[in-house]
Amino acid sequence: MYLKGNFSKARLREAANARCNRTEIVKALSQGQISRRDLIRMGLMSAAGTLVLTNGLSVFGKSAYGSIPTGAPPSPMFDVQPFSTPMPRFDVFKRNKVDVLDPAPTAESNQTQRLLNPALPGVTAGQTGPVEGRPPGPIWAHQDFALRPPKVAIIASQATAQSNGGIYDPGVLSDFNCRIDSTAAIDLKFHPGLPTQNPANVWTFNGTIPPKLVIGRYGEPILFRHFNNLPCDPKENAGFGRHTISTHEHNGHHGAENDGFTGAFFFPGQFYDYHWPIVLAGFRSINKDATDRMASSPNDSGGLDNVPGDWHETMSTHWFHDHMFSFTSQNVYKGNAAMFNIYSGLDRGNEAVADGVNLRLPSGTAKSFGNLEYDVNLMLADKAFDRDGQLMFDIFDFDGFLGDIMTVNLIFKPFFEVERRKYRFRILNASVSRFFKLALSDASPIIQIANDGNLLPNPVILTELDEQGIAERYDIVIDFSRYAVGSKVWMVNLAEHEDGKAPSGDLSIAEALSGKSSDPCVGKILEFRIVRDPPTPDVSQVLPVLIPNPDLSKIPVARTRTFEFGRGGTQTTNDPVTSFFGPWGVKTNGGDMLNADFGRVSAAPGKDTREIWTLRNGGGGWDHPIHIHFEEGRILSRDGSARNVPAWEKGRKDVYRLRPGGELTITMQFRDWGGMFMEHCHNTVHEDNAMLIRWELDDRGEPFMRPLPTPIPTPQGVTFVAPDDILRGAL
Amino acid sequence: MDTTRRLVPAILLLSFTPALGALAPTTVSVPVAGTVFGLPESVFFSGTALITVRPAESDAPGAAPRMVVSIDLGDLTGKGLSTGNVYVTGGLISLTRRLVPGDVIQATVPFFVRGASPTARGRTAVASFSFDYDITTGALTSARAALAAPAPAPAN
Repeated sequence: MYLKGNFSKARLREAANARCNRTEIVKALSQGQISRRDLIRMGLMSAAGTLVLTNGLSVFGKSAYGSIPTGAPPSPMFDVQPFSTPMPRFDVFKRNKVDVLDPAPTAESNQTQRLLNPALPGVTAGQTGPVEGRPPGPIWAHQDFALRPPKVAIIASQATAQSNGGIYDPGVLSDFNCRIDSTAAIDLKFHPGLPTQNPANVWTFNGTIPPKLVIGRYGEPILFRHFNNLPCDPKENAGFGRHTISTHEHNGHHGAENDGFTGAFFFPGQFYDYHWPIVLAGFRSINKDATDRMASSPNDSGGLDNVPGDWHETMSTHWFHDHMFSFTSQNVYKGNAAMFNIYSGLDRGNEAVADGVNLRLPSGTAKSFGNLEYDVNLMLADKAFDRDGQLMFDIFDFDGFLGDIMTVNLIFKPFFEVERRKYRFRILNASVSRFFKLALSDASPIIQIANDGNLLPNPVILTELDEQGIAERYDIVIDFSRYAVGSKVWMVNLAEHEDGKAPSGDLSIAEALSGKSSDPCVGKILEFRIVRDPPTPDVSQVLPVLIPNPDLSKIPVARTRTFEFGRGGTQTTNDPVTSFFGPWGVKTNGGDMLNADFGRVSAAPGKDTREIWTLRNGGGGWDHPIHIHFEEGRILSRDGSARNVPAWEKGRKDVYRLRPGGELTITMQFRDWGGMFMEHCHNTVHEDNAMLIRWELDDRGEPFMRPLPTPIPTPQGVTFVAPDDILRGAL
Repeated sequence: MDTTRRLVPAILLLSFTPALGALAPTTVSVPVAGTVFGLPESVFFSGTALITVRPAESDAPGAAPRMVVSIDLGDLTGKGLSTGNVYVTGGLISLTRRLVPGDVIQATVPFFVRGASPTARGRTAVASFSFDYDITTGALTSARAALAAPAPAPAN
């Protein structure tokens, strides 16, 4: 996919020209100048959605150099060497009191009018629109807002790249952050030796790096006010990324109005109030009186406050990211990704509290909860640069996007200083299409404790983690006490890609370290430097039992559904906003393979029921990491057998790697909150090119499910239309 | 790694009849036995590796199918030659490979005393597998398994 830097200048020039042509297509699409239907009419894309095999355009086109396909030129590195700069900790969002919010948050969307900027598409001078982009009215009101009012306010903006001005809270002292001076300004660079990113090329939370982290705990609802401070003119995007956004709290058990529905996007100049109540699933039916101490939240004095719900549903590691319909890949790649640690009585982030509930995982001891000294968030993502070192996005084929620059916490191959003791790492795959398979360079054992942010029933000892699909989170514990002070060990990626379909092969550690792989993101990606003994003894634990799964044995299965993810999708609707055309699709219950339309209801499980869903890969050698919003599931079988479910997938999950040609069955309960949710491939190039469906759970007191109206956002306000399609058998 | 050890390779060669039908999955059991020498004690392992390979045909013209490989070592147990302790290995190896006539897979696996705390210091062995495939059906036609020592830790 990427050419080596030692190819001939002519060859590299040809590749650069081809990529330039492709990025023109991305640019035109991202700025709304053309649609995919236009590309087909222009003969640039086949009906299957692939770029036509023409030299100067497709990565698969024959070049002047014979059978070598036209690849992409390597990203310039400006003589930057790997492991030459520290990895920064995440930047912790300030937890504010709710009364700092002005205007105060409201249950229904705040429709106060403001003057619109005429640079917004479709806006003329003098027009007004609502200050909040959340759809208006009772259906999109915060559910249980009065019962669970926000106690913490977090204020964030989506903004263009800028210096952080020395405003950075790593949550730890500098000794635990590679001695980075958090008061010094950090420019938006992927390495100090690389160019500062232009404002149009990178759009992050607050426009700054390091990536951001929310600290939350059960029973403490959060109001996340997200301002859209992106340019009003969609052309100010460096050729990729869309300035409208919808923020998905990935794995959140919240009402749909807070889920970041793909069609509930908001515009520059607006904010959107997301109400994250942080409840244990089942809180309306299990442990309603909060008498079970295992279902609890850490308070500020070192004790526990009980919360209602099923403690077996406790969650720990989330992330949140953009979900803009058909532009998720570009926007997340551009920087709209952050993490969210949720603390509980079980997983309180204090390794010293011995109360019989706390699992005492590696974290720290200074604060009652949420200590980060030995609990480290890692965001893995591959990137690519243009010849000026600016972030760029390439579409290659519609199989996915791969970068050739490996970053951890948005820094090119950094190092991280550790003590001789146990650490917890919360690893997020925030790539567009790349899978990882991680190991330590010396093959030392790693303890996997959580999958998709949920502590496993039992920890699993591994020397090589399983492949980690896009959006999956693996929490692991590494014990550095086996190493001497002054030594180093590396995190190594073993999964080699040739394209965005899936890993082309998993290498051995020795092969990955050999430097022979053609994939520049294989091999060492993060260097651990063992710098000192811990100042106090390590009292953290990894117990043999973490969080057992909920008992579903007495809950009948209301029905089964089948979803097949594959190519050859067709579109049956033509709504210009909700309907999308692309090569990918989802086949529901044996029906047609359909392109995405967020106005189409494909499934509507009944409230308070349990279902079994089969997720099937349509073939072609692809892998699809399928994400189902809102409700977690448990994998019952892989390829027809429960025995094929590995120990690290025996807990609760929200992303399901189908594996090439594979299929799995999962079981889920549907409860607590209502509204419209999604299911899609988290290879976000697939998602954006129509591998997405809408499902919904309507809790309006009706004896049957009732399809909800579809929001149609504009700067002047959100209107609603009836669903344009309801699949037979959805209800 | 914190130990140096010598391994006695245990090499098994089995032959199978190719599976019927194009690109059908194959499941075989390969007996594995051998002694892992090293500190704090040498360990004799025996048992079977349950190997499943499932070809996934590519829709790209001329591209070799991907092989979804699962190797279950959960049946493998070891006995400490000094203490008599029972050792177990980390259960499942899960890999993506390309279909080639002969594939050599090398994967590391942890092993540790049965019932030990998850944080007890585990050790690492390298499991090597040589697979021969029927290139037309993707069926596994023969398999060899061996244990080997991990490569020395890279220098700082």
